[in-house]
Amino acid sequence: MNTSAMVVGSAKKIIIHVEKFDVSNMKEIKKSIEGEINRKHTNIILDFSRVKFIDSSGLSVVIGTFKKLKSIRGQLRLCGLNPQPLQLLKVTQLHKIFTVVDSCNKLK
Amino acid sequence: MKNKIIIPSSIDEINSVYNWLELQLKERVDMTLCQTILLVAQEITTNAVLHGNQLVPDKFVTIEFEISSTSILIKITDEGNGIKELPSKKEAEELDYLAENGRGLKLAVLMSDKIEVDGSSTKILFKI
Repeated sequence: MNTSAMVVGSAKKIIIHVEKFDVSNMKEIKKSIEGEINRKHTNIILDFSRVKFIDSSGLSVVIGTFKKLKSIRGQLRLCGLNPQPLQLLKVTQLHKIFTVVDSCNKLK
Repeated sequence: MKNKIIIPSSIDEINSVYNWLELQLKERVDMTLCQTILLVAQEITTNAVLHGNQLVPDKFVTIEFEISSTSILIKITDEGNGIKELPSKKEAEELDYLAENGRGLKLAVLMSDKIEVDGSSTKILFKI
């Protein structure tokens, strides 16, 4: 399993368990996230603590999730970003659009 | 120093390029530059496997690595028709990454010091 999910307050936290979130696993991770949204979880936290590297394929999953949740008035938060994923968000200016939280433990 | 790796056109093989390149870069560049190079190489390799060779198993992608005291050159060659046109640095900078497709190539342009297409090869330069 590349992901696991747990309830955190009113949100569903999806923990991504891969070190590389990329073209090789993006379909499976996308399917897991979509499954949670389809089960009416519209307040989603993506826990990136274990992800050391993300490429544009992984990023496209995050963007797709953001757009989907926005369209149904849901919320997406990202937490635990390591240096490379954070650098990619800054390069693409997406850190200004996404809600990024330093520590996953602070989220409720 | 020069080195190279050849992989068949499979998504699973892209990871072997990442691992090989990480070894080449280890203790030679700082962490930030290492991660930038790994990302750009991953984007171009993915493009070569998916679009250049269209996942045809008996078509191969060659990744060449060359390091000097001032730069790193990576050349990625597939058996396809080559990338038609790369976006300019300005186009890559102005891109709305939330809205657009084809983010991989634009990221490669944005994050490398120089990138050019020569037939079915893409040459990427990073200053050290």
